[in-house]
Amino acid sequence: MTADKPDELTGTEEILAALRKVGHWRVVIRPTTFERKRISKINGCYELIQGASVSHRGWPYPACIDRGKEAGPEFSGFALAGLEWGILEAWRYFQSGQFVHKFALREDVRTSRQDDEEPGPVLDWIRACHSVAEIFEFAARLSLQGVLPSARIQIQIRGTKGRRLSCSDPRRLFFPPSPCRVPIVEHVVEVTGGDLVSREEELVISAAKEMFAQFLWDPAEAVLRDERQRLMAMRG
Amino acid sequence: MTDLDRTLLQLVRMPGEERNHEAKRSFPWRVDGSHVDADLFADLRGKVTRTIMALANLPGGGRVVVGVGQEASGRLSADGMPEEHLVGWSTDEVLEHVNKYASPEVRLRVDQVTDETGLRFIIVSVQEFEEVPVVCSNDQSNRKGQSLLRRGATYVRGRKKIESIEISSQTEMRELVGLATQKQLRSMLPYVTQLLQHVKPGPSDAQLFEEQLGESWA
Repeated sequence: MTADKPDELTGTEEILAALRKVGHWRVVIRPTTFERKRISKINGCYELIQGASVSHRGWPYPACIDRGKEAGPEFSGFALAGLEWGILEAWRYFQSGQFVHKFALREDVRTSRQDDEEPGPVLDWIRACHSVAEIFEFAARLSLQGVLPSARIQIQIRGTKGRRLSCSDPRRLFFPPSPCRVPIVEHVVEVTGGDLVSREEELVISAAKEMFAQFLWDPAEAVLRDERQRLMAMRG
Repeated sequence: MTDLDRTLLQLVRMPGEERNHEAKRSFPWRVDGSHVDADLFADLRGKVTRTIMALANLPGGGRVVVGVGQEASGRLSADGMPEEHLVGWSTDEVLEHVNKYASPEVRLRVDQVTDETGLRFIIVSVQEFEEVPVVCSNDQSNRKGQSLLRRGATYVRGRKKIESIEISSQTEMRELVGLATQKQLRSMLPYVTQLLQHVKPGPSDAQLFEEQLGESWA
């Protein structure tokens, strides 16, 4: 699975179309009750995302750079394709407080493949674990800004059928389990804003365990906790 | 003897009066002014008219059995009615007279029944009012000049003593208002049900969020 020249993609619709052709994440974070103008000014949407964005690995979650910025009725957004960095992503944040984000699995959009990589479609479990941790940290930060009193968080990885887990760190001993049997791996949770902040680690571990279970892998909680803490210790 | 006759005879032989059951001595409904007891009969007719209005204001209605006297002890005595007293006891004639005093009109039926010994009785079955309570719309005094029927009065069956009286307590008023309210609500129910069938619940929070995303982000 590879995107068709994603570097040349510019508009949100084109990027979303390219995302549909590769394995990708789809994340929806929203309040549990609908209030169309929860955020009174549209400019406030982008500022809120900038304020909550998480940056541990160099590339922020979600990405907020002027190059891909967009705006529309009731939302601020972002869409960018950068093949050289394995980036293909788009998000929107509505005045209702609903955040939707799609981003490609880097494993699927990179142009070069390292010699020792697993053949066939893969999902790097460490990178996946970091993404889950970033998603929950971002949600917790949104909650701290007062726009997420209670939240429904839906995390999906799409294009997973036949995909194997892999490990990008050669120092880690990892025996890839059987390929995933379902096309979409999903985790959904509803929590209060307070729990997002106080139970963040627990929520990350629970989400990662459920998602890896779809790849027939049941990692120890300590492994996932260590990986999250390793991410937190990184500086972007 | 038909089943209806047997049922009516059971009413005749009831040992005492109830809130929904009144016994009256024999008298002709159609009063001949030249009759020696014309004034007495007119008074009895006025009393039955009042009872009919009171029964119409009672949940479930009731009936008046004519031809049953009351002994000094209070015990009822099914004496029957002589031939000359059966004059005028038809549904139409009773309705015509009662509805000169009742507003809205009452609904009733008059039956004649004969027992195994040949005694005859009249039974007036009164239906509960349809929409609003029955109110007296005309005056009538008895032969002593006392008021028998009073315009504007609402007659009910007493709770403490079995008799037909003007509303005099809050309990009686509450019972009547409660019955009228129930009827109003019941009559509105089909319309409300019909209205509710056209009212669709609004979209849920989840649906509103989904709509906001549209197909591209699904």
